[in-house]
Amino acid sequence: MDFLNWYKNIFESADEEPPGEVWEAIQDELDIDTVWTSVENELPVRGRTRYIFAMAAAASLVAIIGTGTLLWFLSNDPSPVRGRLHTWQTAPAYSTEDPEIRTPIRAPLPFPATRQVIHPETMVVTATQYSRPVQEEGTLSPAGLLPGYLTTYEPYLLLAEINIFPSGERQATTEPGREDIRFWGGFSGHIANTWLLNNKTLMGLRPDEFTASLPSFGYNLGIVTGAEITGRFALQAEFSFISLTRQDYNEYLYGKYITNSMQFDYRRLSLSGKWNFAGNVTNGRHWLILGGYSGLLRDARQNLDGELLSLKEDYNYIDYGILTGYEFEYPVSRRLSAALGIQSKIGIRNIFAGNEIIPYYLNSTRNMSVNLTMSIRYNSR
Amino acid sequence: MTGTSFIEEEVIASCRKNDRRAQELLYRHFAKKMYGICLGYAGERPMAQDILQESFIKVFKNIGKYKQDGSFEGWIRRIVVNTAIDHIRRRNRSNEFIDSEPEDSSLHVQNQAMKMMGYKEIMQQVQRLPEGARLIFSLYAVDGYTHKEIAEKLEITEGTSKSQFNRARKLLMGFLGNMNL
Repeated sequence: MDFLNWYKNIFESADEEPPGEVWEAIQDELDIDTVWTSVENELPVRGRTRYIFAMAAAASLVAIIGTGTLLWFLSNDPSPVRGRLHTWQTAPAYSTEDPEIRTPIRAPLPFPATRQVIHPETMVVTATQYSRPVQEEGTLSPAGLLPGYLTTYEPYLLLAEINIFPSGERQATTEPGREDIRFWGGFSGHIANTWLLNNKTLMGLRPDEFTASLPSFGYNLGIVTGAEITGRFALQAEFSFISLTRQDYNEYLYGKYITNSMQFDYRRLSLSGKWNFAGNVTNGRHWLILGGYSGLLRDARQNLDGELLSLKEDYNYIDYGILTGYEFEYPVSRRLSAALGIQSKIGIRNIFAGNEIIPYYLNSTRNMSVNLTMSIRYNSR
Repeated sequence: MTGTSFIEEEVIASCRKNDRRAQELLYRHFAKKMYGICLGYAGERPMAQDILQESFIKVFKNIGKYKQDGSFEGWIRRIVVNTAIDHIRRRNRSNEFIDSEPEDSSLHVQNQAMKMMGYKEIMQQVQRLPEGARLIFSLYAVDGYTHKEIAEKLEITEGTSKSQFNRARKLLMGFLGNMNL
């Protein structure tokens, strides 16, 4: 028998099972590799996302503050249009080819009003026009009676009065005042579909994953106040002394399929600008809302298959984000109004602070919610 | 065979998606055979296990690069052999050669005796070879590399490869012959 063939056959037919630890070690190595690949892929995306969120938030704030400031100044502009009497005078222009006839008055007197764009729904314009004879000596001396020319004339002035004032005001005020701004205050409540957005809960939305994210609901209770600066624009602040965020999910853990529930209690303050894009005071108004919020964490708990754990040390105390929404405001009485709306809030900050096992960047978590909002308000006018 | 290749294709496709069950199936299918190869190169179990582990991690990480134009087993085997070479090189043992020509006194192993020997007995004797010589012997005898290829892989001369192979063969045959005395 050839030695080399024999040797080769012995090794080819070797039938020794490697120890189980080899496969365990391979799995561990692959897990580490998967995690690092995911971290490496995700970090630049997170960086970009954070930058986009920060820029969007900054742009929103600048837009809100800029628009608010502009509208504020416009509403307080002491231009002669609002509540002033504007009169201009003119006279008919006479034209004749006859050099004997002098043309006494040709140019209209200057119009004193500044140019304004006035929305017809919110402003009322009244105009009165009349004529008044004018006695002028020696301004016109017709040279006899000429056929085809005027035989007589009556010089006169055309006078016009235009009065412009906001609708709802019976008469124009001479100076605009703070009483034009509508203030309100009242109580607000939200029912919210809340989400903690992180890798686990997002993967839990995939049907082929063991982890299953479940619809979770929280609520907000608080007070709301605001000021309608113009007929179209308002600023609003809302303070929720209870703001509950929850996330439930089923998870395969320690060989069991268990229900996991996380609950975060916040106090939240939101500031927003509102734009009235349709409707009126009588029949109700439609508002679009854009703003930001900030939250202070009061408590964080986890119910892991009946076992209660405190998470407060693992999560940041401060959260902030942006909000957008829609609201329909309906007058209940002369001073009371009710509002019903929908808002979406998304956190900009990673609320997970990290712990001794998981660093903060491996479990980036953001708050998100879709809120059904209700409020009842008392209005200053 | 058709059934096997069909399963193989499915397993490969699933491994490309990092499916852990498919990875385990693939490992279980090839582990015994590849472990034998690792033992042939390493000569000792702990090192063979390290080579096997490193090889399969490379297989799973690079399975996307496998073009199905050759034997999948051959592809895995090449990875195992290259990993074994790297491993031995990292230990600076690839230049542990047989310095002197072994004596011819114990050259012959009887056919009958060869048939009686098992894998474990042979492994014990293979372990006695210096690592560099064992590597050359295994590359030539088990995996069919030519001396030119071995010289390129190990960055030695073709003459060194030939002489070390011959010395390793003589020495191993001597070890095995002595077992029968």
